[in-house]
Amino acid sequence: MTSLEEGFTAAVEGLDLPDRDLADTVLAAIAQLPPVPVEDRRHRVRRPRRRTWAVAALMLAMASAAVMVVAPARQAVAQWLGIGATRIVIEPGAGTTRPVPSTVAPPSGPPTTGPGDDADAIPSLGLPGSIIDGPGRARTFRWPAGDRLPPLTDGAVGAQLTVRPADGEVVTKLVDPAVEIVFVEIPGRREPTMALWIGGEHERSAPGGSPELAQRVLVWVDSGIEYRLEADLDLAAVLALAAEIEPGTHLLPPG
Amino acid sequence: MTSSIDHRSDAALVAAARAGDRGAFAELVRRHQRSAVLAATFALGSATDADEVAQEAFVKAFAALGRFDQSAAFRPWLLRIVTNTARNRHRFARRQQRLMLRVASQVPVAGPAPEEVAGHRAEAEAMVRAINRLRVGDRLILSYRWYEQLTEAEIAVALGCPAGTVKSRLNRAMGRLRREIEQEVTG
Repeated sequence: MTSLEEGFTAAVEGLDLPDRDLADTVLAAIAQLPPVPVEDRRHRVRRPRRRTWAVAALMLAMASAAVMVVAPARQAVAQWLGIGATRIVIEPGAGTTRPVPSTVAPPSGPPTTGPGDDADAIPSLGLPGSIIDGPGRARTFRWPAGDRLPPLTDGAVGAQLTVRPADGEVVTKLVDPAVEIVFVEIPGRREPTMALWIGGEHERSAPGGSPELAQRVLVWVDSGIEYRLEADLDLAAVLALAAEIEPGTHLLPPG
Repeated sequence: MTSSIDHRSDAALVAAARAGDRGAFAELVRRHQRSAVLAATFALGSATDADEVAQEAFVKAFAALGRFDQSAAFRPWLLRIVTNTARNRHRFARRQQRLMLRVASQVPVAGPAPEEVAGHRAEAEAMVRAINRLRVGDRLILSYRWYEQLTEAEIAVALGCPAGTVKSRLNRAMGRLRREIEQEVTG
């Protein structure tokens, strides 16, 4: 051992670190999760680079597997974790009975069930139709509605991705206990990337703004950037869309 | 009061946890908590919230256990999740606090002479100041090699970098630490 190494390890030993026992808290959190099923690593696939039917089918399988691997957590987990600068508050009646100004039109019909046996039904993002920069270095990408992307907002938008620095202002999601909140993993990532899926209408509240009615959304954070993907699709389909998104600061407007 | 020690290996605990034994995962938490909190501290640049990051990382690790390669070591994989979680914390960029040495609150009844204790403490403080000036990657790789005693292959997993680059990264980090220490000495 070199003197430099000795000095380093001695200093690290003396660091003032939090020393509370984490085991009980972690156990309480994972008690909300189902047992972890074993998944054969040979079945893992990388994020698809080219859209072929075979790859799309694999992606669908991955999306389904992700839902099974990290099955629904209860609201307590969502409250405990939060995601990036998004906070989850469980509030009875939020987004369902309380009148709030709506910036998002209600769904035009029953939610798309997502891909089933027919691979042709798998939605895909492709190039966005429009890009809108907002305050707080936020940028919103919109994809037009179509056969596989049901209308989300004004009938023209089928999917919407908003990215912003994850240290931005805190946005609160008020969610009724009846609304599904699922703790899931984005498929196809090298490292586990967890996301929160809010599977129904809820209220979105930002500081200084009026609460808005929001639709189903998948929120995750990767390398300091928060991603919010909205689409009127089921979870498996939205996860498949999320897997297409190449994370990175290139998505943000110049700072 | 007696305490029972779980002598099972990490691999055995991981296998048990995957089979639904959450007590086994709790043992993994206890066993690697210090390493996780330390990695979070180095990644965040301060100990503030390091335990929360470690806690969140353990939950993520549990959720991802089904994808964990059981032939690999658990700790490097966990440390990778910890540093990713730390990087994703939204307050990460705003932290300006520094690492702090634990302040001795008790005077030892027997042990080294006070001047010797003071000397050791001054050395440790100088080292911590030097560590504070290092970039995050340098702190982590030095900690993984010297404190955690990870192999180069394990460090590659923990840092998420090619195994062939670990040695050169380590050498560069050691060089930078030496320069920072020299700055402490020369003032």
